[in-house]
Amino acid sequence: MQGGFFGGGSGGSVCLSTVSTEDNVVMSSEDSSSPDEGELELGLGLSLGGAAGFKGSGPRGCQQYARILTAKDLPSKVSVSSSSSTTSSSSTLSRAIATAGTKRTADSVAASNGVASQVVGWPPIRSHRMHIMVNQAKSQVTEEFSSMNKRNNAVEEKVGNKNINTDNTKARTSLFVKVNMDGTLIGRKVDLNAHGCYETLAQALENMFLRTTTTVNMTRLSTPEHKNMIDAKRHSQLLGGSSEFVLTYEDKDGDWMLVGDVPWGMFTTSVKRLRIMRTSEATGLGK
Amino acid sequence: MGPNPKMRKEFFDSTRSSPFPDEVLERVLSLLKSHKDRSAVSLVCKDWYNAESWSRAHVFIGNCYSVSPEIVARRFPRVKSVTLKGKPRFSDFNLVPENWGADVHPWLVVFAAKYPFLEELRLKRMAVSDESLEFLAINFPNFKVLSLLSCDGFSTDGLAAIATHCKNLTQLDIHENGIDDKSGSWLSCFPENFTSLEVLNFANLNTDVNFDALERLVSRCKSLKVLKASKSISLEHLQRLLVCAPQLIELGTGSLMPELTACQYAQLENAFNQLKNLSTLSGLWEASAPYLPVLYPACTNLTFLNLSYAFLQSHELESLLCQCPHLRRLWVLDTVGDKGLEAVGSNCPLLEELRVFPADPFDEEVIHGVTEAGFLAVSYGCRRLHYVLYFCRQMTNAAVATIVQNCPDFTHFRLCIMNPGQPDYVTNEPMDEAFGAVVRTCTKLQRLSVSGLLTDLTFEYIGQYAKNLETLSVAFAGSSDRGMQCMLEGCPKLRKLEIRDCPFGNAALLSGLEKYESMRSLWMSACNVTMNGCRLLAREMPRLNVEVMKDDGSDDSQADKVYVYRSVVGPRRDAPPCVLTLSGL
Repeated sequence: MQGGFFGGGSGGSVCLSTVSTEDNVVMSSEDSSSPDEGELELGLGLSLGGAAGFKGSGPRGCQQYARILTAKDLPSKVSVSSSSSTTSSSSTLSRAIATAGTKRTADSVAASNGVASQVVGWPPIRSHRMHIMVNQAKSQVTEEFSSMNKRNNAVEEKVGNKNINTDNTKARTSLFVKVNMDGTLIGRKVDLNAHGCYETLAQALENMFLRTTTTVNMTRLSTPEHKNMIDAKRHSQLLGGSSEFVLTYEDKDGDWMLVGDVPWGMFTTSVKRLRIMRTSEATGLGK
Repeated sequence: MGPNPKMRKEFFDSTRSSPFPDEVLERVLSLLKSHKDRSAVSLVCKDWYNAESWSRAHVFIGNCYSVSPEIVARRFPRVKSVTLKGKPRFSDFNLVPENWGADVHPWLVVFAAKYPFLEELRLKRMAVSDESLEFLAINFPNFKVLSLLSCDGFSTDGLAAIATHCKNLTQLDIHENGIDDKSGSWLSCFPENFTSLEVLNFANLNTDVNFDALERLVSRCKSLKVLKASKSISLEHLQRLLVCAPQLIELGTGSLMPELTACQYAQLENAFNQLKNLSTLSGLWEASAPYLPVLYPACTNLTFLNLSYAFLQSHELESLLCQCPHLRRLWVLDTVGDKGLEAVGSNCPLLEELRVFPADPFDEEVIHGVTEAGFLAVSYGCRRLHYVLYFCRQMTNAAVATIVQNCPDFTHFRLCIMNPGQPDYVTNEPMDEAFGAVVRTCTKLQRLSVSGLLTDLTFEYIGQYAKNLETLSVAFAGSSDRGMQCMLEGCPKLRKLEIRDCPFGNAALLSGLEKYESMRSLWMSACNVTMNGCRLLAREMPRLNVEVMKDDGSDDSQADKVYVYRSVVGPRRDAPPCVLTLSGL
């Protein structure tokens, strides 16, 4: 009978972990450099946090409020242009996912909490499916930015194509923050560094959250002129102060502020996350 | 699968018993399709064994290492179709190294000699190289059906070889593989006079294919029934394809994202209107609300709707479901929420299978997704439900008990509470009673995946009640060896047992000595099994292959990953260095 060989005393024939070390290099720079654990998960999927029930934060924590911009100068609604899907190599991303899991395996042994993201191969979703969903979620976010970048020349041209994660030669880093909207289950992430000003950010968020079936059906049936009128009416929704929602953000100190008062650069350095809040809730902040 | 020693002796001793010639017997037996029936038939007597062997056209090999291609070819001389499965299922979740094995090439070499007229090859979790695909394409002139599911090791170059050389190809199904997607040019390799394609599934490839080549291919293949396109196919492209192929029965769309003009939208709606025979719809990448209505005309006869790549909300799902009165299978993302599942309960009375996948499995910050409420709602409305795969973040014993009361016909119950070891969130008790209710009530249960906080009691219930259970998956569960012992001592039909991160040790492993030869395989990882325990098992059971893989930096005595399977060909010779094959020596 063929003799098997047993594990040597020195452990020389120890099995490789599921991902070889060279794969770690391929992980995107933002994943490895960001201190926020949420950013490490960037390669794994958009945050889809629910809008309601934010833990530990809320308008109660807000000390000041910022004066909000009017929406007169917002650009007309930008359509999402067609483009091909993300083309990051499937094996790269699935290895990144595997690496993310593998890196934390040592933690998971000690973790009595058993947090799902710390365990290799858990939850049991096929790596292929996870890769597909990650890329799709990403491309939904980046589609809107790249089309807006084309239309708004005022916005400094940032990374041109859809690959945010594995392009090691890209010119800038991304600054993804979570965005949730009251009453909407799905949260999103938006890259603040893809914008240079509040207008385009507001436009991106409106496209993400306020682009409803009825609105677009109306758009489909209407003439271009009619379409612009519909768009203009909706521009005031996020930054005009006269609609159902306002855009707020949580800053480094944990306070919730209305978006638009401080210079853009200062905003991006202090913002932690965004929330599209019902105006009725925001008025509690005082004016 | 093979006869046990007692049976073999008996039928070798029997005299000829058939009252009619072999040809008649073969003809009769050739009508048997189920391989289980055929295996039973082959045990009756020597004549029936021979007749069955000669008449078997399709052979199913659930574990490629349980038998050798030479043995298969010797026993079944006239096979036209082979299904072959390789790696353990947990390789889907990155628990098995890439070079583990399950190489299809040795099989192809034998088949080229013994089955030159092979027509169909279906592979699952096998390692397939471009060279193998080329070898396949060149050596089998009658080759018709290629299906690759969860395989890896090949690139689009291999697909190009298939497209170029397989003149009689009817099915090309490339599904969820670890494929090196270099370019879409493989599709252009189908010759211009090639017209036999009936099934084309390239849904999980990303690179752009030449659309004109695809359009021409679809136009000239008049028998095309199944077309599952990749994301790179836009809505405009889709419209043109549908115009060429209104006879489609299964459609996987490309991306639903790009914008259409009103005129293009109307054209697309019209194209969907032509699909009178559509029973399966999938793809729907980047599905956004504006474009869902375009699908409605094609939904009337849908029985299977796969929305697992579409980030839909509850109202969008509801609108879509209203259009599908005959739906039997539904796959969704948990973005639809409990409210979406209520809509499922209300609109899908014929539903038999539901799979709910998590859109964001790693974000635990905010509670979202689906809960026990959604599952309950489905169970009230869909009494015929028998297959469920449900990923959630909270569950209660009471809910599960009610669910199986409503739907006692479950054959496949796969519940994944995503936080390992999480108790009933209302009572804070273990989820033992939930799975107890499942096995007690669902007497037809064949497959079970358990999760949540579970003590040995769960496994006592399983061992006691799950008499038809064949596949059992256990993770982060159990309190002691007794749990695994209960599974092995009960469950008479158990074939596949996979366990990870449970406190089961050598005593548990060794309690199944008699059992493992009647099972296809056992997987145990991150449990308390040691190398000595595995050596003992290997020594006691020489007809089992006991393979161990160790993790980096683990204790020498620990057997981190154990894979045990029965085999008639002894330990495999192609194991990589990281796989330790234990023998009785």
